[in-house]
Order: sequence, then C-alpha cells, then structure tokens
Amino acid sequence: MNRNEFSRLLEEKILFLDGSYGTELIKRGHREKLIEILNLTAPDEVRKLQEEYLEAGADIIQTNTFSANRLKLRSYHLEGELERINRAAVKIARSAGSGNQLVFGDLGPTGLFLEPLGELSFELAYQTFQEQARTLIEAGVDGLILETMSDLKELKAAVLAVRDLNSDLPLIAQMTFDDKGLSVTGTSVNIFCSVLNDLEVDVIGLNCSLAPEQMLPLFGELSRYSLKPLSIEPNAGKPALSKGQVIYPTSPLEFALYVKDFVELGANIVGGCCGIGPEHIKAMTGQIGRARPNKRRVEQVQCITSRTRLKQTEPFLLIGERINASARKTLQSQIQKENFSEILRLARDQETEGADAIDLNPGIEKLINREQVKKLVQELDRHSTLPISFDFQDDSLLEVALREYPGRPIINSSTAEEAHLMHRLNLVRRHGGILVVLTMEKEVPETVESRLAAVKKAISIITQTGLSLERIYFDPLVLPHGTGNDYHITLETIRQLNFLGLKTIIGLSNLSVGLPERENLNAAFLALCLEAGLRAVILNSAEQATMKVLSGALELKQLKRVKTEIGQEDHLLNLLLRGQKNELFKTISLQLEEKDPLWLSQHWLSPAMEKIGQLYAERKIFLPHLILAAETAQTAFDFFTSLIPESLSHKKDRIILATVEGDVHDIGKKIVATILKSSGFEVIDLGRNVPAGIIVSECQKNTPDLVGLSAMMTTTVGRVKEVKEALQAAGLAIPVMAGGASMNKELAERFGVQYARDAVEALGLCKRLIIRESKNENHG
Amino acid sequence: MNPEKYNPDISWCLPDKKHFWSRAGLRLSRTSANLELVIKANHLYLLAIKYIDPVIYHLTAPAGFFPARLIPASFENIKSLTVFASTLGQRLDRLINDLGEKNHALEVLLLEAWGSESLETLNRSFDCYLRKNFGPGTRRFSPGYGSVEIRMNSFLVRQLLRIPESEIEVLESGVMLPRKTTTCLIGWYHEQK
Repeated sequence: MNRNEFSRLLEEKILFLDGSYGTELIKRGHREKLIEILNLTAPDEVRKLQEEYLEAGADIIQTNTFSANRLKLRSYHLEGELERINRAAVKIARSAGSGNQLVFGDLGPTGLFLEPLGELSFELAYQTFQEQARTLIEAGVDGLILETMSDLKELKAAVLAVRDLNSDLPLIAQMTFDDKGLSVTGTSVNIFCSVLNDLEVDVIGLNCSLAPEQMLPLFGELSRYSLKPLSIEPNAGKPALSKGQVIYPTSPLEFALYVKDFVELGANIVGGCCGIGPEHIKAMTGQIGRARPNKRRVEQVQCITSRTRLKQTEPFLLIGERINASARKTLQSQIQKENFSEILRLARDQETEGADAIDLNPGIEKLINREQVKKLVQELDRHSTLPISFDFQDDSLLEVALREYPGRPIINSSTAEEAHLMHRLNLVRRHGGILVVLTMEKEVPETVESRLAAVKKAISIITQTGLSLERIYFDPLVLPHGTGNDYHITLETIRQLNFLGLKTIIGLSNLSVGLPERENLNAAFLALCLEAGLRAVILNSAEQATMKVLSGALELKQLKRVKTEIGQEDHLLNLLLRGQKNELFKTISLQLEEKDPLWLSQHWLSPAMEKIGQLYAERKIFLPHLILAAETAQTAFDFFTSLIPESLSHKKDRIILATVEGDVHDIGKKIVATILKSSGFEVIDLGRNVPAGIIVSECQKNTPDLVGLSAMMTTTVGRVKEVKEALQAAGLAIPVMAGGASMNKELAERFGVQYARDAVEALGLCKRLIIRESKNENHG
Repeated sequence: MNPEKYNPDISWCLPDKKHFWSRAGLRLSRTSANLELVIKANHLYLLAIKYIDPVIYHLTAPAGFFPARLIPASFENIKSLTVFASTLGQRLDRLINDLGEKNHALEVLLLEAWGSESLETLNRSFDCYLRKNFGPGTRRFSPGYGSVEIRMNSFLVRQLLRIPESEIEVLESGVMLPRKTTTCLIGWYHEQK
C-alpha cells in the first residue's frame, strides 16, 4: 500500500486498530521480560491474540515489535535477535485471520533520552529507528506506526529515519502526554501538532498513559489544529493491583462510549493501548460500525515553536536580533570554545524585552564546525529558550542545526535564485517550519518592480513544491540609509506585497548602520513599515524607542502583539459555561479586592447569566450548558449573599413551583427552578403530583410572588385550570405561569394563566410579571 | 392466556449515544467544544446502567381476545396481538429524584434523557425479538397516541398483564410509575401458535 492509497482509505472509512499486546499477553499468563520474544518462542499465542482482534473487527493489526529496536533489545541481551524477532512478527501478523488485514509495523521509543536531556545522540536514535524500520519494511508491512513517544526530538528522528528509507510508505506518528497535555519532556499537544503538521507523516495521534476520558480534551486540541488525519489509542484507565494481578478499570462499554466522542471529533483511526483487549475492540467496532470520518474544521494558526514554547506569528512577529556573531566577535569565539553563557543570557534578555523568537546568526561559518552547531542548538533547547530563527548561510551547518532542533523554526533565509531556493525549500519540507525569502536573486535589485519580479519567480518555484505561502515571509530588503539607499523602495515593496496578501519581514537595524542616533531612525522607519503592512521584524529589542513605537503603532492598527486577552465578561462566561467553580472562585477573589459583593452580584454575575440566557435563546448553546452555567452561577450568588450584610440585601422575589396532580414529570420544572434561582429568585419546589389544595395552602403559608405549574400530559393539563380557580377561590391574586409538553399559549390564555415555553422564557416572564405586580402595589 | 415476565440482558437497554444526546437537547458535533459536558454525560451514561432493573411483562393472544377499545384503528386485519409493559425499575427513579432534591438539574436532565432512550432501546430490542418469532406485524403502538386512550394503561397493566402494584403503579391519569415505564401493542398478520 502506498501513501495515496492509504489516504483514500482514510477518507472512505474510520479504520479500527487493534488493542494492546504487552498487557494482554501478560494477562494470558506470559511472564517473559520482553514480550516480543514470543514472536520466536510462542508465535501461535501472538497470532491467536491478533486473530481475536481481527474477529473483533480490527482493520489494522500491529506487529508485536514495540520494544524490538536494537537499544532496547540490548538491555535484554537479545540484540542479536533483532532481525528474527521483527521478521517473525510480520510473518505472524500476515498469517493471522484471512490475511486481508493491513499490517503495520510497530516502533516504540528507544527507552533513552536524547541529548540534551539524556545521553543518546540524534544520530544513534536515527540509526536505531532506521534499522528496525528497514527490517519491518523488508518483511512486508503495509505501513509503520511510531507510538508512545514522549520526546518530540526522538519522534522527529524516527520520522526522518523512516522517510529516508521509504518516501511512499504510510506512516502514523503518535505521542504520549500526561493529563495536563504535556509530554514528559515538556512538549504540549499544540507544539506536537504544529511540528508534525509539517513533517512527512500521514496520520498523527495520541496513545498510552491516559484513560479515554483524560485523553478527550487533548484530542480535542489535536482535532482543532491538526492538518493531518488523526489516530487515537487510549489506555484502559490507570492500572491497579488486585489479587496480584494488574487490572485496568475501563470497561469495554466505557471505552466504546469515548471512542464515539473521538470519532465525533474527527478521528480517522481508533484503537487501544495498555489494558485494551479484544472485548474492548469488539465493543468499539459495534458502537461505531462502518462509518466515514467526520469532517473537521481546522483552525489554521501559524506559529513557531521550540520544544516547549509556542508563539503565534499573527498578527505580528517580533524576533530579537542580538545573537549575531557576525556583528559581535566575542560571540563567535565563544561558540568556537563551546561557551554559550553569553548567548543564553542574550536569549533570556530578549525574551524579557518582549521578543517572540530569537534570531541565531553563528557568524563566520567557516570558523565553526558541525559539533559546535549541535552543541549550540542543544544548549538553547536545554534552557527552553524562545523559538529560533536560524540565520545560517551554510546549508550543511543549517541542516545540522535543524536536525537537532525539536520545534518549528524559522529558516532565515533564501534568495529567489532557483537552486538556492529549492535547496532551502527542501529543508523546510524535511524539517518543517517557516521560510524567509529575500526579494532578490544574486544581486540586490534597485527598484520595486525588480524586487517584485524576484518574488514572482520565487512564488512559482514555491507553489511547484506544494508548500503553502502561509509558511513564507518575504524580506523586501532594508539597506543602509547612510550609504544613500532610498528607503521608499523598501516601503513600497512592503505595500505591494501586502496588497498581494503576502507576508513581509525586515531586518530593521540595517537601515541605520553607520549612522548616529540609530534608535530614532529605526523606530521611525518601523512605524512607516507597519503602516505599509509589515507583518514581522527582526530588531534590537533593547531599543526602548523602537519597542515603544512598535507597541503604539500596533495598537493604532489594532494589532496588539500580545495575545488578545479574553475579556473579563467572556472569561466569566467561559467559566460559567464550563462549570469551572474553582476557577470562578479564584476570579471572584480577585474581583472582591476591587468591588463589593452586592455590585458583583448585580452588575457582574447577573449580566453574565443574562448573556447566557440570550445565547441559549439564540441556540448558540444548549440546555445542558444553560443548566451547568446556572448551577455554577448559583454557588457564586449564594457566596455573594453570604457576604452582603442583612441590611443591604433586599428581599428575594419568591416563586412556588409544582407539577400538577396526576403528573410525575418534573424535569422541566427543575430546570426552571435552577434558572430562576441562579437569577436571584427564591424558589419553593412543591414537587410532583401535587393536588390543587396543597398548592393553595402552601401559597397561603409562603405568600409567593408567582406560582409556576408544570403539566406534561394531555390528561393532566386541565389541572392547571383547577389550580388557578382554587387560588382565586381562596382569594389569592397571585400570577400563575404554566409550561410543559401539553401546554401552549392558547390553552394558557383560556385557563387565565401565562405560558412559558422554556426556562429562559419562564425567567423573562417572572421578571416581567413580578416587576409589574410590584409596580401595581406601589401605585396602589 | 397467561402473561409472561422476561428479564432482558442489560445490553438490550443501552441507548445509542447520539439518540441519548439528542433527547437531552444536544448535538454531539456542536457540543464538541465543551468536552467537560461530554465527559459528564459519559459518566452519567455509565452510572445509569447500574441503576436499572429492566423487566418486560408480555402477553400474545388472538385479536379477538382483546377488547375492541384496546386495538388501534390502524391495526385492521391483524390476526393476533402482543401487549407488553416494559420498565427500567424504581432505582433509576430514585436516583433521579435524589439528584433533583439536591438541585442537580443537569444530571437530572441527562439521566431523564438517558432513561427515555434506554427504555426506547429496550422496546426496540423486544420488538425485534418478537418480529423474528411472529413475522410481519404492525408498527409498535403505545396508548396515549391515536385512538387508544392513555387511561387504558390501567386495564393493560392490571387486568391483562396482571403486574403487581408494587412493581408498576398506574395513576388515574394513566401515568405510570416507575416513570421509565411504557406499554406497547403490536398486531400480527399471521396466526400465532
């Protein structure tokens, strides 16, 4: 099977993967330290498990080779069996069932950390994966799956190793995260997604460590941002020991329920990891059946990342220029001596000053070697610095840097000259990231037209490679003003490129080379460039005037560079709609430092609940959201009430609710009660099947401002009229509202009561009726 | 003609998640952004299963055995009729009531929806089982719709199916307790042995 065929298959239907091998074979009594040895010692046992997975409905089965790489086998003194174990695994998987299934070779991590977090070099990891992948491919797998990776750099080594062997084999790449959405090495799901979106893999996904429930929010993130088809393999919960046996708590039904959610979020391949056995797979295939994958709406967000840091490039990107060994000879010699303390200090300073990324210019590249570049990148990685813009001239050193870099970088830069551009484009395609393209070929063009001609040529080359122009910044070339260059050419080039929808970046400080008062010139020119449509800049972030002008100009253009903060009200809405009580109370504590509880209750929380009511009325949220928000708000209202002195708190309007006699349906009434309470009403709920006489006596006792009745059945709806009449007979002129499936506006009018279609209408009605009543009283 | 009692497997009562959500007023795809809610609904799905004791009381007899007022107008030409009452039992009611008392309205809403869909799934499962045995028949029909009054429930439950009041209570209005209880009729076009 090739990548195109696999891609078509992924569009046609959701593919079912198998479950675990290790935990399942151990459960069946195998006590081998390395379960993969069963491929040689008990192949029938492995085949039997795979046949059970196939019978359960799996489309793809994995080879029993998770730990069968040289580094892991070495620790079991089985290094010499690598080829036999892997080849046998493919043969077993092929021979299981009817033989029509897809067989994917399974590659797990090496078990060692890569430099700089551990001792393993990128190269050795690369070779290790390549060796196992080669064996599996030669033995005849249909594709490969890289799984349970906790180090983005290790995963990248594996992807490159596979792709250098075979560019047309289907490849799935999965990482494992904790319940906070971080890998052991600090990579977030979003960073994983942004890096893997660029790499030559066919499917990206999550597996292991987490139960389905814990994995769901992380998968939600992946589903929002992944440009690739998605796979998912949760564990069957957290293992526990019971009678000496490891037990996984997630039942097949629970697993299947969540798989349905993953499918809803757009999963293309679903299966299970530790603790998931054939019963789970059977429940999953039964629940999902034969279905096409859901189409996802992917949010295309351009960003750059390091291993642990992600920065969006929109609306504006600021790159610090000061790690520039070309301009600072001391940096050059420090790199040669592998002393990176000054570089790390500069990285930290620029971050403090507000840079999104750091430009890394290693100076005269003939003076440095591959090892020094590797160490430099590793050191920056180890200190979790900002994402890097690699300002390298030498292609081979650039490639060394990119191999070592576990993130989505900027490659700065390429000319529009075909050979150079093609080479740099290949690096971008291989390692991922964003490319800066200069608006020149060999010589700097002197006119706007000739710079645009270079852009035109570059675009025709870029589009042939299939790379999106969203991943390209064009540099319109800033030349020293002091040597008589006309800055208007740069400005006009930016304007024209902006008009064409292309993104531009400049190296700002070139303008003022050799001139006094550089900061003033840089700041003024930057303002002009921003007005012309500039989208990114490489500058000296220590220049205060430049940074202030940048901040002001972006604000004028409503392009605040800092991430737009969620408005207080929106933040509150989010907390309410998600039922995040703890977070809500943290926010309340902060609010209480400035405002009193009565104000917060009336002017902060109440309007938020009204907004939520509107969202519900507009069908932008659904009933469960409304209820969750109301319940969450209720706790906050109660808290505020407890803080408001008795003398200040006004008497709450009181409402009696009841389901009429003969009717036992009260869900609608409960919802109404919840919404009313969350809006400050006192609610007395008399329950279900309540005779008219009891409603009357409770009204006499509690003197409510309004009575709300619920009637679901056609056989009970007439009781509403009975209650209304009984209230009148008792001399109680209390407004009555009614709702329920059998009630409608006409009927309500005939009974002399008000009709509320749903809880939000009931709330509005209560407010109107009670306010009207109190006005009448006042007039009276 | 003696009614029979059948205790179905729980798997007969597991509602399709999409239907459950729809009954609760949600659409899965539009709610995907609020995954906390999805997780909550899943928890309740799994919880509800522990609180049901599904039972079906059923009786199949020639059409002439039943009073004419029980047979819907759309059932013409049937040779025989099955009546059955299905219930999820009282424990789910109690769970929902308890949560209601504590003002956990969201849980109540979702469990109500789950219960309704579960009961419908149970009815559908039994319906399929009957059709396999009895061949072509009418659509399943419940009193309260069309020409058969909901108050017929009392006759169905007490006199035909002879279900003790301790298991299913029928109010004067025709409403039954436990709340997740239904009565159904299916007419058969062939004679039954």
